[in-house]
Amino acid sequence: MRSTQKPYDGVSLCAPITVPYERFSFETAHWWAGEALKKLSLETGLMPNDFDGIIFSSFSANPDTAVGIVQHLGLCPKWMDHIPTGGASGVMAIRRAARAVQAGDASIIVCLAADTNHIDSFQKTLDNFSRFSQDATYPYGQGGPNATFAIMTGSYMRQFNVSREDFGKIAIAQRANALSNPIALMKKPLSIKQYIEAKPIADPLHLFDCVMPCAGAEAFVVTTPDIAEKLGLSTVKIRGTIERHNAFSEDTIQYRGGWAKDIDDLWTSAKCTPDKIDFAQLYDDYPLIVAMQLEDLGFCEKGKIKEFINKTDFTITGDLPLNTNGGQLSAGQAGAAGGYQNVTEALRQAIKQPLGHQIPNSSIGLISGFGMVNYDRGVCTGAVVIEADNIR
Amino acid sequence: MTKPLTTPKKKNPLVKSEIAQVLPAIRSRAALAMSCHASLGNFVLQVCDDCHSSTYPPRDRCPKCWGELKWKPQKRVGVLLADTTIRSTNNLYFQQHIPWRIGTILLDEGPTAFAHLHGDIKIGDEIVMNIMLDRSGAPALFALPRKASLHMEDDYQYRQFTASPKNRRVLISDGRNKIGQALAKELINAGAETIYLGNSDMNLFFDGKESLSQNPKIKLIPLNLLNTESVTKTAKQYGGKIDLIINTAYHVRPGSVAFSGKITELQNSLDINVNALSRLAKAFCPTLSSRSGDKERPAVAFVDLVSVFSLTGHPSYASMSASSAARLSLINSLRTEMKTTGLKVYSILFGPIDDEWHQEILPPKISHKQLASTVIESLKKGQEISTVGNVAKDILLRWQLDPLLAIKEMSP
Repeated sequence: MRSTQKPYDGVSLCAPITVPYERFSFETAHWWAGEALKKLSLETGLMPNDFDGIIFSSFSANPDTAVGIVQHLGLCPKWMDHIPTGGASGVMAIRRAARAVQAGDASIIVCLAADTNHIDSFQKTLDNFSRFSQDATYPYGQGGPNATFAIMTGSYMRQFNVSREDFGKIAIAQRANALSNPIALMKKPLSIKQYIEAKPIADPLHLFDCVMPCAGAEAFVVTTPDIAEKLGLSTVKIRGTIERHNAFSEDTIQYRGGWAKDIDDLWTSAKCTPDKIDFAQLYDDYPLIVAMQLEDLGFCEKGKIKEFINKTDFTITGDLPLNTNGGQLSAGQAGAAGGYQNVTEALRQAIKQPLGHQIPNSSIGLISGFGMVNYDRGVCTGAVVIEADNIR
Repeated sequence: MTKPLTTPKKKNPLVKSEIAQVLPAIRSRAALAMSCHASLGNFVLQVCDDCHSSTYPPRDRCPKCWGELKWKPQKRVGVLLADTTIRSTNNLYFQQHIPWRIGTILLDEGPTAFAHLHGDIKIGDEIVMNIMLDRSGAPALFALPRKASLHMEDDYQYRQFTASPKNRRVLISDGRNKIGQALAKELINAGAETIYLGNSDMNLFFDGKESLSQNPKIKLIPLNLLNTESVTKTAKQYGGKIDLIINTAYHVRPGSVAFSGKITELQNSLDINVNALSRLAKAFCPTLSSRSGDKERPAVAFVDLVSVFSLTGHPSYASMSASSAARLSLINSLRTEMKTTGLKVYSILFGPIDDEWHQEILPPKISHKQLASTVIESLKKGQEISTVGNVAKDILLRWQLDPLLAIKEMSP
């Protein structure tokens, strides 16, 4: 029943927008969504009636979904989707919007993620995150995904002989990248000593292993090359994509994600290999998840991550520039927008309009998403290989 | 190895007690069903009718074949795969209790589950899984060591789920009857610090008074359960230093509804079995619940002893059964009311006692000591509902299977 992925001809990704994050905001998710559209409009000249498609992702727009946002912000799309998959939502948005544009169901789709962070938002999101977490995770001491990831991290460290110093190298490289990003929330360099000695959160996780929740919004446009040209927008092509949910449910503790199931399909359809990748924007709620993606997406063998981390320079000028805006670990996690910032940063690097420093070679990039710790593991995974197209 | 508890320090009256916090209580209906099994001390998982695989967390259909799921007793055995010690949390309850250790257990039956961990368990150890009820009455998996150690019950995390009498100050509401007296002795054996024994008339002699008075840990205090003023006054004086209340009030007289019973006996029975409970709860529960978050000396539970005939009625003990039914109803309401306060409510369902008031009933009957031991066991295990004796066990089982049939089966 296996089918070959058809190419994404006639689809362009463009106009990446990031609304600068704030640690706390008394504005609503709707306000942040509107702010992203405003910025998008100033950038592209597009007005509400110009968008005939929308995808929306958010954790804090309750009780509204994409429907509420459409009416709230005055859109009149003929195609609409709501993607509630957090860290995997940006990758999934690309896949869905691309096929809709290709099939002619819509021609200009805005993919939009917005989340606010009130003083008590994070607690409310946790309280209502999922039924399994209400029944079987949240009452076990946590008040958040930290404990779940702590268990996974501890288990992975024992299984593959990985040390805190190894994970620290990822966090430190991302912080170095964040220093050139003027809107990253973390602005100070991070040393290995600071990383190791940071406040303990849940063994073996310490403060700099965990993302900082914040408010923010991200958006990008999926359209045809012709329309993008008329609008004068630089474009990026899609070379191949994968998506998988609830993979390897037989693993007692998660040490791999859905990517591992579909990795060959990704590189086959993208006509590419990991060593041809110029930069990677991998979902990074915890360093463990970055490590897992590096293995599962084929940069190194499972179990060889320690050596790979130690021989690779992940900074902007390094051999594998990784999370060049600092990622969520250093720029902040704006709820579901955290699942879009990897997309917008990848697009910006590809069209050479970065927030901070530009990667020297940024032709082919990898975007990867990971979302929704529904119970004891992340359920949703996906990845996209992109390539710079027209730079205008 | 768990270190034995030390005697709690005397409380500094100038220090404000920590506010009682309870765990988040939002649960699915399936999880609520799990808590019913937990309240009886059973370990259950959902098993599929069609493919017979067991599953966790609670679901509404089988994830392997979409068959219907039923809660079934399962092997308690598992192994600890991985753990973490939580040192920072946004949750107010756990903020009071961190560091707090949890882990992933691989159960012999297949599923993995997060569980609270007893301090003696290390990664790779075999464990015995229990479903406990947390302070808000929700089900919580708790892993205990495969081999019990000497002071296992003293484990800090485990004690948050039990009401073990060790170091507690206990009020026994009626200390004049044989149940109360037997309980006082068993509680002291179980390490209780002080027993306040309710005495409805301080001047009136009663059997057993002398041996009780000789024990320095037992203090007879005035408490007339038939008099609201007396209960209120005692609560004001002693409520601040009581951690556990056990209501031993019990009125029983043989008699049927139409032929042999008297209406005055029904009235007396209601006053002692029902109104006394209400007086006690009104006077003591607010004070106790305000101290349920105290770190050194938390108030932990309200325990009620009630006849198992509360479930079915008994034709020859009609008044006692009727008042016991009302009493059980009150205690069920109280349990729900106390969910947000962190104070646990225990019910001990007992069968006919081997004494002068149960001469009409055939054996097996229970001794006062047996009743007292069951109370202690329930508190140690944190088991909300327990039965004492084979009659009570049998009736509860029948009632669970078919309440109407259980009523029909009661014969004089």
